[in-house]
Amino acid sequence: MIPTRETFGNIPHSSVVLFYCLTVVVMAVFAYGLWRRFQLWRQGVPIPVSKLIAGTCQQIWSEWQPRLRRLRSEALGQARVRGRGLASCAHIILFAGFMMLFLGTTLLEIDHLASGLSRHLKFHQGTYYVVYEFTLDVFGLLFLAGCLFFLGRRIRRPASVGHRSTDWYVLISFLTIGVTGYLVEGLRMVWQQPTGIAAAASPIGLLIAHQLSGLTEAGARSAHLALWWTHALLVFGFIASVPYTRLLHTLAGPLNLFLVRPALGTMTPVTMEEVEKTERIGVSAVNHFTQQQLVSLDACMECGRCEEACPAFATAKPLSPKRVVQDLKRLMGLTLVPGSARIEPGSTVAPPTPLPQLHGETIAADTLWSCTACSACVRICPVRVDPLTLITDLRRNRVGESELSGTAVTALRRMQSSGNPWGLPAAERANWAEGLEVPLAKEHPEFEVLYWVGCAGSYDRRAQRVARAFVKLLKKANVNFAILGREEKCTGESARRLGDEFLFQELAQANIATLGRYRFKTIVTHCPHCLNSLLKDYPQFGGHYEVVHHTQFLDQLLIQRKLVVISGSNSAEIITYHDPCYLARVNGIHQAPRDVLNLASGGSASAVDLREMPRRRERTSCCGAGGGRMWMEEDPKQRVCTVRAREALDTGARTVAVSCPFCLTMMTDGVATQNDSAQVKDIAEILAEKMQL
Amino acid sequence: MDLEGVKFAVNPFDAIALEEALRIKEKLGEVEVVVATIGTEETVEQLRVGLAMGADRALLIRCADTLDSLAIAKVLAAVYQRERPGLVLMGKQAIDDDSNQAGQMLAALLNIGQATFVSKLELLENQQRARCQRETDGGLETVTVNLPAIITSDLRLNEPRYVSLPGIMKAKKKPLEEIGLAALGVAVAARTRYLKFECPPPRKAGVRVKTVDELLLKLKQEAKVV
Repeated sequence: MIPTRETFGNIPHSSVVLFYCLTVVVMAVFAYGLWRRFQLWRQGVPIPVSKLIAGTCQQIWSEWQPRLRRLRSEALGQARVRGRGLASCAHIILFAGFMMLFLGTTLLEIDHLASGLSRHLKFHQGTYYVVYEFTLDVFGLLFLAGCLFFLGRRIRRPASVGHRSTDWYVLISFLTIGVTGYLVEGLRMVWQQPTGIAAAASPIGLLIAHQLSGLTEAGARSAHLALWWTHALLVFGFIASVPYTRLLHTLAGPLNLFLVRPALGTMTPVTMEEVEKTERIGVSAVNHFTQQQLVSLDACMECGRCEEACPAFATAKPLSPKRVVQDLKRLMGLTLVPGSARIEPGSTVAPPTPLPQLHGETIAADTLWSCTACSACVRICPVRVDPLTLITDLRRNRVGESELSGTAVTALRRMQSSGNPWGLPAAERANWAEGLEVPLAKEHPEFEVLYWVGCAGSYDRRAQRVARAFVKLLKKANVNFAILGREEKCTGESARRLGDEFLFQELAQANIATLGRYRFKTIVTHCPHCLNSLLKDYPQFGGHYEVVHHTQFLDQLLIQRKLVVISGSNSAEIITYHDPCYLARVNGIHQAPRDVLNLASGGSASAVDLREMPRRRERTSCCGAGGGRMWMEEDPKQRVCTVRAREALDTGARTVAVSCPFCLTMMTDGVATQNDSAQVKDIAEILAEKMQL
Repeated sequence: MDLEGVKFAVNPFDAIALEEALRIKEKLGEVEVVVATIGTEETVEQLRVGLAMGADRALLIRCADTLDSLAIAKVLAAVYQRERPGLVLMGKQAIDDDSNQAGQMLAALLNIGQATFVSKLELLENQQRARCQRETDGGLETVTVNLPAIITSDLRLNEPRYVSLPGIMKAKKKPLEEIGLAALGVAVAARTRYLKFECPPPRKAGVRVKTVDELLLKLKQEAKVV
């Protein structure tokens, strides 16, 4: 006998008819819910979907390929779900179980419809049946194990994990769907009495059937029918509730992964024409976000990883990236007026209850200005929600509406009038280089390497020493380089991240014009913020350059033996290295600085004892100065740098190596507040010292 | 003086004065705020900033010469007669020449009240009078002055709002009127003349001391301040 089972076996015809009637109702409820969400997403600024369908085959494919790859590895492959211990494992097995059961049910229905057309089309039998039943039995267990873990976690409820009362419904219904599924299988086996491989294919069902073997066939059949209905109703409930509960993430998550344009370290430019046309800049209402951003709000599961990674949240500032996303999501939900979801601009029909304001009521100003733009939340989100871009879009509006005040404004004014946030004269920009005979691009236009000094290196007393150390190294290695001197202006990086897009563009255009006058091969800079801006912001305005960080450049000079460290007799120096966000996380540069530190020991590992901090490389933690926070006052009790300095000192390091002028300032402050005598030094300074320059 | 790469900005004290006017307007509603400056095309940008901050219209009194305080006060007196404002707010001084006279002279020329170095301003009795807190060397002084009056702002009166480029672009639609000195009927003759400019002597390098005791010793014996 071929192993198989009858679909709708033991289910009376009337029940089957009712089942399909209910299916239609459930699908309608599901579709309505999804349509409502779609209306919410649709109100955003349209995303260029035409690129997905228009153009040459090659163009279309180049649009689809990365998106499909993300769906494969990050939705199906759960690549970004990893990294959170047991919770990640539980999600992966729950997902695997769910997907298998979903696939199984779909295949079963296809088989049912096909065999309805012709008996010969039935495929749910034989080897296929055995593999099918066994696979579903096993994956059902994975599904249940995942549900149990999350139920337990919801009872413990870790602080960062969001909670709604419907979450209980979702998890308990999942659990009971799984359990009733097994019971239905067991009861079927009680009366059907399969033998051999047909029985062995369903080990869990068989186990249950053994437990229930006392039942009569009639008893088993009626219990089977009752439980089959229970199972079916629970599944109906689950399907109908997807758009209305947290389960929405199963659709919005992959949709966001498909639509999103991953852009760590980049921002979308705005043109003056757009501002003139729309008469606004940035976001002051939910429908100013892009449609993809609105989808991303629904993709958020409130898992809280962003919150755990957020330096502002860790220092008790009024910012949690998760809260921002959820608050915006709630506001988006309120824009839904039944029947006419889309609120047309200039519509005279007012919604029944006035919507809360986005700025002030939904998102507080302090929340926006607390962000250090460190991008930790962006990197860690499993479904690629980008809280940072939400925040910078909101900031743009606030700056445009003159709602920024305090020391950050002073910095912006200084960038505007003097071309640097210190507000010092351009004429003094190269004063740091006095006595070092640093060639100016204007006077020596035949150079290969442009050293982009940046404002900190030019004007900050402490960072000037970094620039001096780096120049000494460049000279020692006979590098043909030059600096721009007074021709160089602030890159505008922090202006852009503070939300002053047009001040940034003004500075960027001036710098691009200056750079365009010279012919060189590479730009080298010791500032990761300048690096990121030159590398990722400037191409948007026609400035395409090869840009390297000074640690990468020094690494190359050491490898090429253009710089040689003669091993000193110093006893091992205990060093820890703090990765700057915009170097390690945003631009993936974290090995070169370590290599330089190791090579600085002259090859003898004993001269440098590098002790790593728990949060390092891409997972590094912010010093607190990014996103324009460098220019803001910080409550001494809430300083990000104090937390990070503690982490650095806990390694036992006597030298904290940094490779960013902002980190240098912050870590120096942080170490000082711990009353610790540890030194904070840039990697160039450490190398120059080792080379006795 | 090396002016390459230097962009001119609104005198900070004037920005504070304008901010105060805007706050009064925001509080009272029916108020028109007019910004005025004396200069050429180059100063139009400064007026646009004022309009972007929230002023309703701007006046550019065309004059290419650098005027001294009295000349400025005379021009402004003529503007006052033309506009008849309920209140004149000015910066206490310009940060380039630091003269600190135009406001006082203007009040004298118009023979109306004045309150200078104001760090807190409150309008009283249906805008008939103003209570002003002044920052003096001796402490805070509170005066009331009948309006209209000339009020000059000190640093701590408020923090002016920041305007970005889109705001300035939007403000292009607001009226900006140009008036010649002749139309105002003012003839200006300079009564002061710059003789020469000198750089302050460069600072000598500091001395690094090793201990607090050494510092005290040096303060006592070398600097003789302790």
